[in-house]
Amino acid sequence: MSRADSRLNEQCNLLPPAFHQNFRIRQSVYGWVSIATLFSMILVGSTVDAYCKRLQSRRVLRQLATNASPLMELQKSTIALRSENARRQTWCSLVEAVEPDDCAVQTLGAIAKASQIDSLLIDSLHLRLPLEAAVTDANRSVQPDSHPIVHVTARFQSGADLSWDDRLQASDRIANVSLQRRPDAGKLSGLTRGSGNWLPIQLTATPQSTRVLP
Amino acid sequence: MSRSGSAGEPTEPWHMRFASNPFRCHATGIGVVILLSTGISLAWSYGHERPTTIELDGIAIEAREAALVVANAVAIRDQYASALKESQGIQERIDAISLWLPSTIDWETRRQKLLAVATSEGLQVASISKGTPVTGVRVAVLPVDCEVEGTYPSVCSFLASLTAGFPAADCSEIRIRRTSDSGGEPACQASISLRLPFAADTSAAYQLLQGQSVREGNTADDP
Repeated sequence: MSRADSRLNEQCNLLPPAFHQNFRIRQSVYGWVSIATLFSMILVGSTVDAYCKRLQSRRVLRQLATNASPLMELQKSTIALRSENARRQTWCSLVEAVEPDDCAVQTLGAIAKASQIDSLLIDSLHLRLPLEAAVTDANRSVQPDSHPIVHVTARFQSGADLSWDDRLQASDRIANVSLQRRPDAGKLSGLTRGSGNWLPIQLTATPQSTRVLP
Repeated sequence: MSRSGSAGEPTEPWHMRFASNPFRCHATGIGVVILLSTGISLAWSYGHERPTTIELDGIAIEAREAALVVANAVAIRDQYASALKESQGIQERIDAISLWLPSTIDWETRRQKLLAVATSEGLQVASISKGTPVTGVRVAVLPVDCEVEGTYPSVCSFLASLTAGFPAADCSEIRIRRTSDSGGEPACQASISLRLPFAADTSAAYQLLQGQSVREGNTADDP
């Protein structure tokens, strides 16, 4: 202990106890004020740092959002476009299926080709392709209405080898060929060719249509 | 430093009341340090907290979503390009459809055309009559009945010309009856039922060509 300290101690001992208490309190206050000042400085530094960081992150985020915004719009447009594409594709498929084709001509051609037999004479021909039914169901589905049919009335020379039904059956355009004798056989008159007896016959079949006509 | 409250003594400043004894002094100090520590931790968390949303032009954007979108920018552009290409492909199909599918039918013009085609194929036209238009799911059609006379090949040629020409027509039913057998090509009489398609309202074709949406579940309007 230095001489100055010992002199102070001697002086303090001479002072009243309240002074000692006040002195200790003052020392404590100084200590706490120092600590509080340090903490305050840390607080101010942290606050400034936090504010700057926040500002920086907001700036980064704003930049991110600015970059993302058109991409998000593009994403929305893609979703909408895909949905529209799916809808239009369905309609396209529906409408393309009704594009007029030569199904009737092909069937008539197939009948004509199979009927090129000298001993055969065709009187009449009736061809009907499947038609779409009227829209009544909630699903708006395409349902065939009329039954497709091929009905041919003809005559063939008796005694001749008639492989007409087999030839028709071989065609891709006709199925379920059925050859019968005509019920009106007794009433027939007029159309004749060459000599011999011409036997009236009729043929029914189903045309092989690839689609239901609108 | 003196205690306050006694009459005649100078009033102790309020902030010095916290230091009136060692216990109060330490309690105040600890309290202040706790408060400052709380402030520091709050400031730290405020600085390290990342905002989750940002408002841009009045639209709130999620930060995570934005980051994901930016990261997948190339894929998003590719997807859009692919959808656009698909859309163009569909548009080409629609353009092709519009080549054979008119939106309306001018009956007189079509009648004249049918007559011209029949005549050019060597057929004699007995009658041409139109029916009531029918609207289906896919397209609407105008039924037309033709009575013609000629040879079997010319009837077939007539039908082939109808399906190949524009606007195209479908033959739904045909009845051919032999009328004479005077050598050469036999003459016949044909009753032909034609279907002339067009894009009428409520049909899929109309929605497609007009670019509108089908009114789902609405069957009351359908004929």
